[in-house]
Amino acid sequence: MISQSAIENAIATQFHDKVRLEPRRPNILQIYAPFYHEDGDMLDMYIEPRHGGVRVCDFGKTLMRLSYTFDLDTDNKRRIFNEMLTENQVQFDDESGNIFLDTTEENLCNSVLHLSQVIAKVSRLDVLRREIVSGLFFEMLNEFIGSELTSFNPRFDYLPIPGRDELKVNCAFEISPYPVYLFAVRSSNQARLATLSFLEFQKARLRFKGFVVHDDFDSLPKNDRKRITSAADKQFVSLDDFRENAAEVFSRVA
Amino acid sequence: MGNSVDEYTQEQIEELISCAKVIVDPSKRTMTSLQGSRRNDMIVQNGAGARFRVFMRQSEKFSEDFSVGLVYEPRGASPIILIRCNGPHGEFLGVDASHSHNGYHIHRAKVENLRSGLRAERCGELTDEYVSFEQALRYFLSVTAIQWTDDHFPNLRQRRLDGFDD
Repeated sequence: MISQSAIENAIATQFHDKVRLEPRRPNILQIYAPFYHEDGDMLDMYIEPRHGGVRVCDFGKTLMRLSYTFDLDTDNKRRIFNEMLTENQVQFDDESGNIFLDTTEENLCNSVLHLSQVIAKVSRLDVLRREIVSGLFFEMLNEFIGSELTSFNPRFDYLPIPGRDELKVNCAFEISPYPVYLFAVRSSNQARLATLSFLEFQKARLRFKGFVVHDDFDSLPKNDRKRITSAADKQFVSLDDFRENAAEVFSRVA
Repeated sequence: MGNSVDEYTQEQIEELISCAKVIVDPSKRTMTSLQGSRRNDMIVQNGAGARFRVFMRQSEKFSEDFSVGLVYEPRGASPIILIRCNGPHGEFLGVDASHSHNGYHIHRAKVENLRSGLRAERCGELTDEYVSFEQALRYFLSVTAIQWTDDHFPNLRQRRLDGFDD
């Protein structure tokens, strides 16, 4: 079995062998190190000797790469980005897009490793992309109901018509005079199921209010929007809309 | 085209790259300078109505460091970078992923990457098809079969068949 000293020696030797500097411009050294983005490109890191110390930075390359598929084009995204930099104790120049930290010769290795971590984190801000966030739609909806609407007696995965498992609603709110049956809709299929279910409940002469929460109402095809609008009593066009207005709407129907 | 990565074949990926496309939302006539890089984007569409986004980026600090790419954006699914033409920015992992290289290179989507949960365009190959941003853009427009005119890219003015510019 390999000994600890052999492991230490291997790490030290391999790090030494795999890290080098190449001059990129006068007074700018590029760090060549085995740190790669998911797309196979090496992390862009540079060293700039300055009076009194050394700057380790990316010269805007991280944001340039991020912009291939994701823009920091909302206040929330920019806030998350700035908080990430602050929490990780690096600085940022908005005009040049430069993420950097000023360090000393004695702390150079730590600073390079630290910057590589920050670059990796910033590079993955694209997890805030809509299609990823919307995948959390159902979890976030249930979490909101479970924490903010408990006074309206929610019951998840409820069967308004016993034995009709195919007509299960995402959540029933047992309020008077009529319960609210809520469907969460993120696709055409779910919209059609909600529409069909409401019609079946009406055919069974149930007394209820039919509500729908959409992930993105505008993304539904036109005919699905028309059908569900005809069948539902109230629709929330987005999760944000539901969060902002659900309590007040439920209070009016309760 | 299916949204699940299991539904793609390499032939479909290659077809998405090479199918004829028209520009439906053109790029700006000049690149925009933003946070250290020059940027431009446009939307193109193929005959089947599939939409793609083209991005063009060039570092302001290192002009040889650029990227021109084609992004397929299937509805409700994560975007896939189908092809990306890069300048020499540092090392990149080669196709065998065990060796790194340096130079002008092209990343191209591979179905085995998708099915392994990796970035579609992970790993690149060295190229001698271009040695500048403008040449890379011209090459990119050719391999992605995007129909363009001098109005779209005045800096690329198309050459006459006799090889002389006006």
